[in-house]
Amino acid sequence: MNHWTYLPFLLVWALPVILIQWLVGWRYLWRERGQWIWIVPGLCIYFTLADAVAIKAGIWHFDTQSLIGLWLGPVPIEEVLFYLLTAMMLVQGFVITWRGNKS
Amino acid sequence: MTYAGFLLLFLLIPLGILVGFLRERLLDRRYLTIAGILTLVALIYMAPWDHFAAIWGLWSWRNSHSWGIRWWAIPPEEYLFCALEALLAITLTFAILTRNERHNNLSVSKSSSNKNSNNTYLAPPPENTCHDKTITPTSPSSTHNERADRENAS
Repeated sequence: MNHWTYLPFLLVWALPVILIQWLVGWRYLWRERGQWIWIVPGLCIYFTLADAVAIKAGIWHFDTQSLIGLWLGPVPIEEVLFYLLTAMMLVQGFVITWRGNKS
Repeated sequence: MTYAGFLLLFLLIPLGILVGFLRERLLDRRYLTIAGILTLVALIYMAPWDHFAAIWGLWSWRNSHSWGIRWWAIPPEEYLFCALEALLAITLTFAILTRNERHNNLSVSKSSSNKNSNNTYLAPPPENTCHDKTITPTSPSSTHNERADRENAS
């Protein structure tokens, strides 16, 4: 294989951001966890369902050689993880900046 | 369904509903600044990653379902997806965080206006609080001196 497959390519891209967010803003993230934590799986489920529609409609498709081969219906498990991690990066990023520079 | 139709149905319409629900609450300079910066950061961080995935063939888009344009190896719709996903996640989080703030503020002002109908909870504490403190035997002498100095000065 002369290129990265989806799963490591995704993890190397997203995990450092999530790690830095927790290193920098763990105080806010932990204190506010009851408020934001449910938004992440909520968005993940919503975008996974939307993704299933897009894949079924043929808007985008994946190279099956680059996937680990676990699927949730038409959606590769990597894609579910993508929505989980992007939702985490965005929601946590907002919580930290919103609470962090409170005027 | 085209990519543009997908964006309209799953991103623009939900975001529009959220904006319609929040309305003037969104006219908050701090929210607008943070949302703008985070969306820009998301686009800048997504683009090279998506570009490499596209040239390696990890995923691809059908030209028949998109506008057929590529900025780098990425269709413009993909940038819109990224920006709208960011705005949706950020605005939803903003709505939930400030909903609780609003509840707290409402209950604070409600309880103080119950105690005092003139809404004087913003006024400084009454002078006698300070006076009582200075005459208590347990209070540090410096407090007493400071107060005496202030009285002498005036």
